[in-house]
Parts: sequence; structure tokens; C-alpha cells
Amino acid sequence: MDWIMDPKWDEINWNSIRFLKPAGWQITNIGRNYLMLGTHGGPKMEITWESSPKSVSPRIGVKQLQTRILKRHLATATAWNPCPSWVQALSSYQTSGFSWNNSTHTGHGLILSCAFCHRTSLIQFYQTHPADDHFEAIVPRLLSSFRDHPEDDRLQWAVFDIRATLPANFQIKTYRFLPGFITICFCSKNEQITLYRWSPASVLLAGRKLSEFAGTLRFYPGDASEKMWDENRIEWEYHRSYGIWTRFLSRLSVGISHQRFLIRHVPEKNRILAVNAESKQPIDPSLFEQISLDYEITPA
Amino acid sequence: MKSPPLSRTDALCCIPVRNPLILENRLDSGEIMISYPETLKPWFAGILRKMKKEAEFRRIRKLQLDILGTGVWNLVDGKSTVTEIIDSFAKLHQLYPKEAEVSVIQFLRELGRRGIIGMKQITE
Repeated sequence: MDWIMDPKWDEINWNSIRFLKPAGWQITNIGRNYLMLGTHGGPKMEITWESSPKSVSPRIGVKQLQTRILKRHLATATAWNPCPSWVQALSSYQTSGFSWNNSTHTGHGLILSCAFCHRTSLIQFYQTHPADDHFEAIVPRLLSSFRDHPEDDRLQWAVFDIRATLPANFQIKTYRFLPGFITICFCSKNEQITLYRWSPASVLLAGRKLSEFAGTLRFYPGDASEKMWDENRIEWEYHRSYGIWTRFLSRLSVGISHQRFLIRHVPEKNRILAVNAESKQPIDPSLFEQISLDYEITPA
Repeated sequence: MKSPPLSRTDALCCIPVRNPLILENRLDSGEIMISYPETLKPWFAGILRKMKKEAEFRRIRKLQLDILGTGVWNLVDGKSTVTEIIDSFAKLHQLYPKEAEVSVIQFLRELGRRGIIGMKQITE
């Protein structure tokens, strides 16, 4: 159980939910509003969350959410009084506790409701039999770092080894996490930002340049102006030709007419990162540059 | 009677062992080509064995590993457990641990399906 002795903690930032966790607890399953963390030894923590609809009053919405979440995920749970250290760590949330038991695990969990964002989260901690003493030290620290809404108008994202910051109006649209390839697509009203990450770069770039690798990508803007900052950083920008007729059509159509794409090789991390922005109107250059700058590989 | 499936923890503690019937050929590119006898369905192998014609039907198949597959193959030394192979592979390519785990397990499972490796359980 290396994670017990592991003093390293890292963060998870996923779709408005943020918390710190022992580095050894890794994501084993991920959904839009769902995370399961575990180690080689089995599951450690599960979290799911939902927001109440705007049409429902916050108090009723939270109550409905609590019932729905509990019904869906924990039909056999019984009420449980959380330890004072757990409650203290979550003093800004309305909390209720529950527990469950099966042949291999004991589970303790909390339902948290936030008065600020009207989001309800269900967190479960799994313990193997016999109960693990170290859990008591880990859970309060993890819970005290828990946040379910951003503190400003920027939303941070940190899962697996990538970290990014985007304006809060960019909502997650699609995502894929495959060995060697990660992509997350965000969209706002008129813009779409897609983040990409490939690894290991040493294998993908063996015998070829970054520009050659980029040329093989499906979304590579072939007919575009290319700016090569250096051998490890290339940028393309594409504007559809701008006649009156095209401009008129671009206003009517839902298709994109601007694309900006930055790809960079991070040799010290053995990764390739890319940001692709697609929009009807040219994307704000400072926004694109800030997103590209904030998009990074987390320290190991 | 079929033995019960291993738990995830137990499976990670197993030692992958190469099939002694396979041949490996190191190519100029550094990649490895494995020649292995085709695995037959047990019922079909049983019939052939009774007819004493198993050798005639057992074809030799070839599998070329890419550079990552070759890396994992080199780590299958008959001593290292699956977990140790995952850790070494992750370190070798600076991979995120979960990413290394998924790809190594997938690869070993594929080798096992083809009968190229077997899994040895550590008995305490």
C-alpha cells in the first residue's frame, strides 16, 4: 500500500469539482459528473454530483437531488453520523452521512449540498475489511480541500496529468481518455476549444519532426498560415476567404470559419500538447494565448 | 471445472511467463517479431489429439511488436510481476501510471489470448 506512506498529494479539477487527493489514488472511472478513484488494491473513493434545475427553488431542488442521488446509488445505505473531523472539514456545506457494508468493503459517505451553487454531491469512501487506520488521516484533509464551484470566472481543469484553465462559460462538450491520447472539447456560445495530449512523444516523434506529426492529424489546417516559433512549437491560423458573400454565409451557417491551432512538444515530460480553437468570428488572441499558456502537464 | 477468476489485485501480482514454444526474431528496426503456434479451441484440439492430427492443424503465426510492445516484451523476464512491469514501463516512457497500467494490461491480455505468454501465480 504505497499510497499510505506517500506524502505526495495532487489535485483533481473536473467539471467544477475540485479536491486534493493522495497521489496514489488514481482515477479509475470518469464521467461528466462522476469520478471513481482507486489504487492497485481496489476502490478508494467515488463521487457524483448534480445541480438542481433553475426552475426549482434551491431548497426543494436540493431535497429532490438528495433523494434521487441516494436512490440511484445507494439503495441499501443506512444513516450514519459523520465523524466530527469530517463535518468540520465541510463546515460551509449542509451535510448528511450514511454507511453501507458488503462482504469486501465498508463504505462511508456524505451528501453535501452547497447553498451557493445549489449543487449536491455524493461522496463515498471505501474501506476494506479490516478497517484501515490511515483513512482517518486522509479523509478530513481531502474533504477540507473540496470545492464544488469556481471562486472566480475561470474554471480550472486537472485530471490525470493535464491541467488547464478556461473561462467558466466554456462547458465541457466531449472527452476521451485513451492510453497515449487525451482530448477534451469545451464550447461556449460561438467558440470551441479542444485540448489534446499525446504520449510518449519520444515514440510518436521517432524519426520525424513535430510538423510532420501535426500534418497527420485529422484537424490539421492544411491550407493555413504557419508560424513556427521553434522546432518544439508550431502554430497555424486559418481564416475562410472573406468576400461579402462568404461573410454573409458565415453569419447564417453554424459552421466554423476561423481556426487557430497550437501544437508543442514538451521534451522534459515526453508529451505533445495542442490547443485547437474553432469559431465563427476570430477568437480573442489574448484568450487563446492564455489558454495555451495555462495548458500544461502536472509535475510527476 | 473452471477455476474462479482472479481478483484484480491477485492478477496484478502474477508473473507473466513466455511460452517456451515461441521464437523471437529481433528486426533491424529494433522491433521484435514473435512466431508462435496458433492456439486451437480446446474442443477442436481434443478432437485432433484423438485423431493424432494436432501437429498438422497447428499453424505457426507471426506477430510483429511495435516499439512500445517490444519494450514491454523485454520486461517479460519470468521474474517480474505485472505490477513491476507496469512501473518499469511507466518509468521508461515517463507515462502517467494509470495510462501505463491500461496499456500494459491490454497488451499482456492480447499476448495471453494468443498463447504467447501464461500467467504464473505467486504462492506464499
